[in-house]
Amino acid sequence: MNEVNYFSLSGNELREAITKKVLDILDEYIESSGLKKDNCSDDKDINSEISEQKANILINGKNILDLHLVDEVGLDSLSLVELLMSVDEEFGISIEEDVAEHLNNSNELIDKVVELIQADKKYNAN
Amino acid sequence: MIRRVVVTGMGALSALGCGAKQNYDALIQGKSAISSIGHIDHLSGFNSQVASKIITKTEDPINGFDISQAYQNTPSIKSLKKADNFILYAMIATQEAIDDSQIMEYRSLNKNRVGVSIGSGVAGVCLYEDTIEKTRVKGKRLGISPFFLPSFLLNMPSGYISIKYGFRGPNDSVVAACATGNYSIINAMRSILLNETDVMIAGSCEAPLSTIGVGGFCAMRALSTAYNDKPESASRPWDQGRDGFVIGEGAGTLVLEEYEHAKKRGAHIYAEITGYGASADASDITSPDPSGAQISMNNALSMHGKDNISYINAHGTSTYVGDISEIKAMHGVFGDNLSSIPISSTKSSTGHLLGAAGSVEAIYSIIALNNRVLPPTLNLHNPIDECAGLNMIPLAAQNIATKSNDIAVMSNSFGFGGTNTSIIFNKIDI
Repeated sequence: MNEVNYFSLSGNELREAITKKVLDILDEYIESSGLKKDNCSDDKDINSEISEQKANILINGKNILDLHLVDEVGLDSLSLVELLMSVDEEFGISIEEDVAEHLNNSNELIDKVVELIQADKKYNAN
Repeated sequence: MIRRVVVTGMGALSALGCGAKQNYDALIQGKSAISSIGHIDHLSGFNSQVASKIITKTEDPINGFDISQAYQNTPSIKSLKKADNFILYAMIATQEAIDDSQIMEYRSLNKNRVGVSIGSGVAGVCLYEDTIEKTRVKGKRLGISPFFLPSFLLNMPSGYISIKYGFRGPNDSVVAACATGNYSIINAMRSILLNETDVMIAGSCEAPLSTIGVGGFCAMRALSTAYNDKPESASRPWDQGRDGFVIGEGAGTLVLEEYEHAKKRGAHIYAEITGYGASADASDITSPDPSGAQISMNNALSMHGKDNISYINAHGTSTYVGDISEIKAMHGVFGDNLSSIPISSTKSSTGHLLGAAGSVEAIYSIIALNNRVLPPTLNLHNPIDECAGLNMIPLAAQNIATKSNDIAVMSNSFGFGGTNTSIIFNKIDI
């Protein structure tokens, strides 16, 4: 499952790889919410150039990464937990519950993942 | 005023097909729903290799059953997609029953007085098992989905149905092992009789085909093992060659309604429930005692108060002990009259749907009452001695002999723990 070794990446590359994956995970929820992407021909995935396009996907004129997970994507409490578990599993991290409660959108989620992976890297390097 | 309870809608799903009428037609044609499960990884290796399994689109893209219809028309209930099959089966059968009853089209419907009582014997045993497997692979924290609990709990079919249709009356789930379906109907009927509700969505569902679901019954030596190469012969109630029941899955839902309420809205009434009986053997956890079943049949008959039973849909699971015990109980109840009452077990066709059996068999009985054609007992070539002189409707369907229009049918369901139920449906003329 883990084709990407996030520990070998850093800076923009790391953020981009994480963004791509988070968007993949988010897709299922976007779909079941019935939200329509404004500017999207179905993505073909695979390389990071396309992921950059994905990150620019707009929904109702707003960047997908800025959509409020509960109010705009429409996640209920259990779906939010499930989403975060998928993220934990994908990146081999553990987002603390009190942090999870205060996450508003995917950008903040990606920030958190970057932060946790970098912290892990530091820890492993020591 | 004495309240009366009638049936105004029905929906059934089994390996015989989707739809109450489709199920009944298949029964009358003598079709078997039983197939081999030996090729299915998590069900292989047991002594019993047959089941009455609903083949899904994933397993057979061409002829498989599209289970996604359970949530396709309910986009607002996203979590339904993650629910265990026992819930999805109930949603499908219930949609059919509600459409059939046209209850949602009744403008004066007071949804506070519509309740739901859908039971199940083993609830989400497949998801339960999968989740334990996942904790072994992914670890405890990541292995358990936040949707796990609400996707396997026994009362979730009732919960989901209330959410989908906005029914705000009593909402519960009865469990009584293989008598669950009948108990749900009895429970729902009581609610209407007590004037708590005008309409009850009653039924049961089952999806037990997991390793422990099949394995548990197999370990008890309860399942048929001698007909693995001839699955359609495996369920043979009262036949001397019977060697256990065939496990199966499915769901049945009935719309029960107070008679005046149904009449007022011009509903089609299939039958009136004129009697029920419930009892316990108080004897053994699995081995039945005929005197227990006798109490439930007698109680149903005394509530019914008439002598017009024209068919008995027996529990008849195709086990050594159970089949004999039930016939003995019937002899005790009906005496010499028993020989004039046709009896069959539709489990010869569907296998044993455990908790779902009672409700689908109630539906089969009600359609038989209306069509006056009785489903056969398949594979009954050499009846046991206890059936001598009785009409067990062997091998082929029969017409109801009497010309009378005032006829009734009795449907029996018994369960582990020694729980017994009998329900009587009377044809109604308006």
